[in-house]
Amino acid sequence: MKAGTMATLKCNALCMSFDGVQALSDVIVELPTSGIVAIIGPNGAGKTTLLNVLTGFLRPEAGQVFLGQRELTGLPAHRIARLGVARTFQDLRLISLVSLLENVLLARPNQKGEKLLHALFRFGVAAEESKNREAAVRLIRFVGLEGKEDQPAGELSYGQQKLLTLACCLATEARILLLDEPVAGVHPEMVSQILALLRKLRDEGKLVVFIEHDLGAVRQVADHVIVMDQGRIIAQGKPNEVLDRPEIIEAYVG
Amino acid sequence: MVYAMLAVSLDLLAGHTGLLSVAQAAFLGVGAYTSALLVTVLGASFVVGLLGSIVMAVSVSVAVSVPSLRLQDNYFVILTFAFQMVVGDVLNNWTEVTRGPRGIPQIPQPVILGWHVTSHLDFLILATALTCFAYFVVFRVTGSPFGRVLHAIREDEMFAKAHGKNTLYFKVVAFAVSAALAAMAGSLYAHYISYIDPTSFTIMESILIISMVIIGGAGSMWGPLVGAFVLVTLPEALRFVGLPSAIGANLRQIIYGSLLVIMMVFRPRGLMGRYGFGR
Amino acid sequence: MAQMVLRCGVDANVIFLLALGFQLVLRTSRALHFAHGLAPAIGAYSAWCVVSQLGGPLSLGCLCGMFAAGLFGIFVESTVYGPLRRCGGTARTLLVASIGVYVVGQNALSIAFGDHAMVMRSSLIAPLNLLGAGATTPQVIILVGGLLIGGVTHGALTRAAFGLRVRSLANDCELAGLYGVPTERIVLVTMSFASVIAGFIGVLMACDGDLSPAMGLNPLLCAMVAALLAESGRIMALAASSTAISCAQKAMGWYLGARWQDTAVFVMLIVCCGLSTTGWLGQKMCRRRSL
Repeated sequence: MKAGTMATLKCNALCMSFDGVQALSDVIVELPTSGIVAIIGPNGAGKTTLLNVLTGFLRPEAGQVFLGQRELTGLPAHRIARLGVARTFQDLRLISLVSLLENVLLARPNQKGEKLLHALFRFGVAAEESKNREAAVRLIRFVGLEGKEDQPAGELSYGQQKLLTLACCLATEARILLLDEPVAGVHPEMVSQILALLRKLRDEGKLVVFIEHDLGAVRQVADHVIVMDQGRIIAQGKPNEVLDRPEIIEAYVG
Repeated sequence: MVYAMLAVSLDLLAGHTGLLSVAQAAFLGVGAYTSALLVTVLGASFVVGLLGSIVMAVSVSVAVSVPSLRLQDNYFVILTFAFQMVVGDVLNNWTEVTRGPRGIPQIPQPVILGWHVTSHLDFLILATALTCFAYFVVFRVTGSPFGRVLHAIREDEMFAKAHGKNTLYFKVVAFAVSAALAAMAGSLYAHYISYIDPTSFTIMESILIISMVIIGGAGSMWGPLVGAFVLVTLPEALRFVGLPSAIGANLRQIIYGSLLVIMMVFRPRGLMGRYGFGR
Repeated sequence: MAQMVLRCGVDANVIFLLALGFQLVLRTSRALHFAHGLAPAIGAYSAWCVVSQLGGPLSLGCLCGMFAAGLFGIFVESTVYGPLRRCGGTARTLLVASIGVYVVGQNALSIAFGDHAMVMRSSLIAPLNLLGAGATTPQVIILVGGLLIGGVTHGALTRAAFGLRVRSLANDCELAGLYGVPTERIVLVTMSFASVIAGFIGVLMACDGDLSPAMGLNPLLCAMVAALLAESGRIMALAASSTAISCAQKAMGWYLGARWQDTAVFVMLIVCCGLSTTGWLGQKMCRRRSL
């Protein structure tokens, strides 16, 4: 993990198609080492596909993904996660039957207790567990879900579940967070809570990349905006410059 | 008792990890035959036979699972089905080694550190000890962080992967442990009955074991035990009622087949289980 | 040699037809229809009843067999799969239920007819000579039937309106329902189609070989593997994978002895899994978004 601490995530000429539909064409992105980047675009622009390729859930047909000097293309998703690139899902994947604490504990990296021998014989697992537990509680507090640690995750409201997925993402200690629609469908009060969290994460030196449709949210927090349409990147830049351009508005509305 | 061990071994795989396998009887057979052959042909002791069968089962399971666990779970079931049929065939046809349908007779009774296991009571003690061991293993594994990941895989594998867990490793290990426990049961079975032949290790056996897990309840400690108990006493109960044994065997299977269907519709968690296969 | 090719072709067709039905049911009913292994047996036993007990002609027996198998399929779909799907069953619960159905069915057949293998006798089963290989009528029917049914199904699925509805259902059942596709009816139709074909195969298999309650199990295994290898659902892919399995079986049988045929099927599957993550002629097998 040390070697990649300040490495940038970038990709080169990515191409991907599904059943004849070109989801990504020649996508070239270089992300900063920290900050908040928003990826916007109409439905079907390829935003989630890009996320999937960057995190290893899909293998691109052409092009490469790099983290610093290290090539990520073709690595399995869990390896990429361990290298410091974590993500959330648009359809809120969680383990709904277990508690919040268990969900976050799961996401903690490098657990000795996960090896079979240690599961059976438990050398030093207890100490590690309590350390992880403290970290998990801290994270749950950070996202504002304090007090609910032992509730089953399925009982939370939609917005609260989004906060939980953020906590799980943070639990992996990844420096680069790729969030798929973190505020979509969420109560407006909770939206500002989530945006405030994103700002805090930026201040801690993390890179937050999020896909969003809510342009207001994008204007509020993003340092940099990438606009996609039909599998291509059609604009990049500061929110104020990009979002007011007529062709961008047309791509969204037209 | 043997069935309790088998049920809990499958439960680890199916109940806790969410991977349904139709091949438990195959591993039972692998264990039984390995053990029997080691003891009869090479003159090894019971313990060595037991360990040998575990090693064999683990190697076979890893060889099978590493390529195939990359598939979607439902296709994995088909694969275990195929594996079960193949093992059945091998046991039947590889006559040079397994003596085919004639089976392996006269498996000697176990001798463990000077203790001659001869009477039924002795066997019961041995069986209980081994079953407790199996339960202990499953209990420890599922209560640990390793078990936590297994449960995550059961519900949403992508979540586990997105948070850095190498799900293939976990699935392969779960499968291997499950196979090892089944082989242990096989070893015990071979020595208890002292004669084994391929007909005890068919797909119908596997389905019986699956039924025990499902009817008793998947994903819990007592579930497989209850399931094993219910399904083992059932034929005894039928015999009590006075049905001719030819029909009895079929009827027993019909009963647990229907129970499977009924359970799925009304209570997929089983009698005491915690996992409803997604419902 | 010609004999082997013939056998290969016949078996390939058997597998193909069973796999076709299996895959259709999988895509529309979302069930891994393990009980499909019963349909051939049901068809065969019904035909046997007609022919041996009632003295009817084989053609009538065949029709009865197909009808019975179709009924069986409809019964399973409406009493088991349908209700399970409606109260939230997943593919796994459907599979377990299917296994239960199979167990019940096979044992019921055992109780009714006994476990020993029986033979279907009829004057229609006479040896023919086909390009130097001795063939029986049932084998020829299987060969021709396979090609015909495969062709018709392919045509129906790709060109007919009904086929479009089936494919849309297979793709996204909620969406299809929203668009007014009569989902339940289509599921029933595909299930009966699949079961009828399986019954047909069962009758012919019984003419050609033996008849026992578990006769469908081995062919089912091969059919499932074929369906797995040709996940894309294209008929050509299915035909190709069925042929490949049949050839592999015969090859293994030729070199190592007939007993190792099933091993061939399994090894083939493992090799295909190990070598790549894509179905043989289809889309990616793993890392797919869930249904």
